[in-house]
Amino acid sequence: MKATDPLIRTLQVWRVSPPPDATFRAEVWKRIEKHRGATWRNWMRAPILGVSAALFATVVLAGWIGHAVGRAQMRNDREILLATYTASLDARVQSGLGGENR
Amino acid sequence: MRRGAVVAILLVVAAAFAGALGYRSGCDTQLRAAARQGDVSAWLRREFHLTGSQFAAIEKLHRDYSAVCEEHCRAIRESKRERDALRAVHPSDTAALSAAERRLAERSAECESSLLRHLDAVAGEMAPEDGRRYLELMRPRVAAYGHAGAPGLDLESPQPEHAH
Repeated sequence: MKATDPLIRTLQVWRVSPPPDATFRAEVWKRIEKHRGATWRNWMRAPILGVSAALFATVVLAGWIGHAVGRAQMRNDREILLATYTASLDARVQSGLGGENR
Repeated sequence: MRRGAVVAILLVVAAAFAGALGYRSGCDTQLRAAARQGDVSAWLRREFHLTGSQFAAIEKLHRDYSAVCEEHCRAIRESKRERDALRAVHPSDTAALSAAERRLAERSAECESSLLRHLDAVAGEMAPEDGRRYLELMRPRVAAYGHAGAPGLDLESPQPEHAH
């Protein structure tokens, strides 16, 4: 690009004169303050109560649900074994009599 | 935003861990294994706290009873066959049909009372508290079968043809 190019000439004479912003400095400091100390530890410290409550609730709820599922599984397993055991002893089951004869 | 995602993942991991622990505390792993393998003996032994000698005595009772059970099974099948044949050939012969039904009902009742006596004998080999629990568990099932079929029988699993 040559120094005689119209674009270069335009840029050489171009001057920007923005109106002074009285809040510029304050805004910059505000943004700096906003991000000051935004470390993981500080981030965690601020909502520590909320995070702890969520963690506690999650663990208790998940543990309770897991326990309930386990209990249901145990009842089901027991029921299957009991039915198998009863069927192995009851000639009516084995002969396919069903409930037809009462 | 990224930290939020990390916290969410941590919560999910904590939930999975707590859920797995809860499941383990609620589920009986030995019972689970017995149900998977269809190992009724293991369940019986564990459920009713049977000692080696109690278990052996109960196994013997079951073995001895299997011959009785087989006889009941044969008699019921025979009566059922007669009744079904009568139904097919002489459906209007109500007197003969009701006699056949009565015979079948009698054989079913004999089977039931014989099984209840066997259950009493099995319970007698257990510790008193376990024996009482065994009868409380088994008697209603045996009694209910005549009314509603095998109670709680898992119909998804293959039906035992004959256990003798």
